[in-house]
Amino acid sequence: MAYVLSANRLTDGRVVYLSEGEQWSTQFVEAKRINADDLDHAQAVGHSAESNNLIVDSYAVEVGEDSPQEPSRLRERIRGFGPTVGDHQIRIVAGPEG
Amino acid sequence: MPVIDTAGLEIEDVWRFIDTADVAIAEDYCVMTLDVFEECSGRFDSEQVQRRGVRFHVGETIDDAAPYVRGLGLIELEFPHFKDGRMYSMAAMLRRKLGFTGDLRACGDVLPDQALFLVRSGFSSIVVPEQFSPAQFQSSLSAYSVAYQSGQSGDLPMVLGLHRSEPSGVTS
Amino acid sequence: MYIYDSLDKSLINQRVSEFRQQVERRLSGDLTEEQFKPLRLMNGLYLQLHAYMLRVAIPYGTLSSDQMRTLAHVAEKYDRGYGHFTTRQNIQYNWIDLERTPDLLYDLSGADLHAIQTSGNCIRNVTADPFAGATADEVDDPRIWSEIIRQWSTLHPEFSFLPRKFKIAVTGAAADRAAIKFHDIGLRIVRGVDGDLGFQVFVGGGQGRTPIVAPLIRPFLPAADLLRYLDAVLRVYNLHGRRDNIYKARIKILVDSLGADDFARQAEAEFSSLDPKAFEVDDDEVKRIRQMFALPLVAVDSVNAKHDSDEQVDEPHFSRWLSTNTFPHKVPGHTIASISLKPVGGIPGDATAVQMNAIADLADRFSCGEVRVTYTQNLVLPHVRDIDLQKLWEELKKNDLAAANIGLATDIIACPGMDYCSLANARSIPIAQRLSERFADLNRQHDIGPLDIRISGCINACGHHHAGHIGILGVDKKGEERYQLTLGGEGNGESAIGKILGPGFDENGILDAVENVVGTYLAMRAKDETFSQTVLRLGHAPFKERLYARH
Repeated sequence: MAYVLSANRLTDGRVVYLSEGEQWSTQFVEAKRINADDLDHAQAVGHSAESNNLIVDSYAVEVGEDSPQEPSRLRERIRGFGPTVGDHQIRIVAGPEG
Repeated sequence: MPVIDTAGLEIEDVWRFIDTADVAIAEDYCVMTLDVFEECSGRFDSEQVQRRGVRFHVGETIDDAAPYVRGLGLIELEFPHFKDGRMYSMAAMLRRKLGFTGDLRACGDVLPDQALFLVRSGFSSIVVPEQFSPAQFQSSLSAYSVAYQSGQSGDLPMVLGLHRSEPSGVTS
Repeated sequence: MYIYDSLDKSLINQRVSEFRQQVERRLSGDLTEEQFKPLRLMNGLYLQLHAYMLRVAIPYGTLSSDQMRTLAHVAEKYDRGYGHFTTRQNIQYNWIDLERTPDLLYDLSGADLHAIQTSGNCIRNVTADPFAGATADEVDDPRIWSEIIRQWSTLHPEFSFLPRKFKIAVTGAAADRAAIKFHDIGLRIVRGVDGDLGFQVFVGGGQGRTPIVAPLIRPFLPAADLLRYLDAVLRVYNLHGRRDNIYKARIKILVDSLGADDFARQAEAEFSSLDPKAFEVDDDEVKRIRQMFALPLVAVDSVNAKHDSDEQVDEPHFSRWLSTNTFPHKVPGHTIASISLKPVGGIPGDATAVQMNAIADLADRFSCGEVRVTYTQNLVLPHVRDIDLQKLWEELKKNDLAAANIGLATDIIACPGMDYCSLANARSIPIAQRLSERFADLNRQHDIGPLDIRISGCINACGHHHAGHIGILGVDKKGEERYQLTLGGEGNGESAIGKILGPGFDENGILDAVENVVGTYLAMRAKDETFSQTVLRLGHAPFKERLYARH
């Protein structure tokens, strides 16, 4: 079982992942892979970052065995890679049927 | 822990919390729980009762208080958690229904940001929790000069319908 | 509409300053997240799946064109160029920074907009009939009373830390376009036996985990007693609502567990103990507010009036739009026009900043500068002259806002779902989009007739699926998205809760299931019978049979 540690950045709420050197990255690809044995330590790093008002709500996200790694749950994939809908540009107007 | 008034200024706290009936009977300016008070309330005359206080907890209803409230010098309402708003209603009822005119004090878990809510619900003093300072409460008290529901804060009895108060304090 | 005076403005300005300070204290660590969260929520700011989400209040769903422009400005300056209109007549922005929120709120305050109490365990935005003030069938304009309730409930010192959120809805008509019976308190304006104004008071409705249609608690409440009665109900709830379990903390649970009669008695006892004088709203004040909602119109003789459009071309698409998207107005020569935010394949309720600005201009041109938001995630221009309708439609078309589908199969209500919401178990928007595409053919939609499809991505039911003719609830089944279909709900007028038809489906399965259910209706309906009428007549059995029949 492997994990990454995720949280939201306090200042702007953006999803971040614990990466190398105990940094927090908004890019899932930079998330550090954490073995079950190392999880406690990682979570401690998370709590410390919370106490230092860097992040909020850190938690462990299960990742699969594939490479590059991906979260196991769809919800976490959406969190990591963005909504599955919308580009939020103006739609091309379809015609009278609108 | 410091105690502040409705302007956020620290006041002298003469009250001491005690937990047995014999101390309650003997000592002036002591605060006790409701059940201790019920044990010994019959022993106080109207003068003495002004120098007694009761600390209520959530779940204790105003009916428990009704027979005794009028004369008490102090009533404390303890907030178990700052998200638990039951004591605001208790305060409002103590002031309006039972006509309590003594010191109504908020204690327990309260945030500086709740100061105005407390005062406008009828509290006349607040025990400042350890992790905060009177200055933080005072700052919060001056956050608003207007309100939709009442006249000046500190109006007794509290008026809580729609009474739009202007910045100058004039009600409309 | 209600115009802020110096008191109203002072309040929201001071709220902005207070929040600015609270944010600073949070960022510096003077406030912990646990302490800050309820304060943040009372200002409508959630921490969601991707970022902070801000819910801006649109009191009783009424906006001026300038306010709409400000909402567009916020979308552009602080978000990604779009916003989402919600099932409580508010608007949500999904990509908000905490640090910039005080500036955002400051910008909003310039247009008398705010995010006060759009979240948190307090009294939320009071919603109302989106046709208020324009419809002929109302006893009185519900917005007058909604505005009174809004003021009374804003930063109410006693009721800001309730067991749970509290939602109030008001209708002025017998027709309920505000789903009042699915609210914590629902108010219908009626006349008493002596012709005096008053309210039917429903208490304890809601959707979510435990959907309940609110019982009638007070058959007639004189208007003068409105705030006193609300005060009484809120006090009973504040004192006795459950605080041990957030799923059992709404007032509907309290009313249900006590029983309507006992609850009514407790509310009445508290009500009787309160001093009427303390709660009466000054007659002058009611008059002042009422005047602001006065109709800005005079009757127009459509038959003889000059037409604004170049030619009244016999345009079948326009006629079709007229038939679904317009509604009778109380003033002759005028019409209530709906703007559909449900284009085929689109995200229900979303509008871009460009569209919002376009709508603001159209409101100025065609609707006395006024726009409404419906709880079905559409918009309304309430005061359009008949002679302007075709021109309006042409302009709406240019902005992809002319879908002629109000009340039809593609007028789908969907919550943001797992694409945006941290509470969700499944995505709802893609289901809405795929369904919309399947039913795109307008001829087919018209043949089907009124069909209310509603999708929620979790049991919290923000998509109001319980009240849909067809409801879809997304759940998580062993890590997979699964969709349950409910049938027989009703949210327009009569209120009814749909029942699950059977086992759930995967994403493709639910699309087929909806088609199957519609197919059953088409096969079995009587002449001129609507979908919900057929369901009522036949019950669930034939639908269930055809849906789950072995092939």
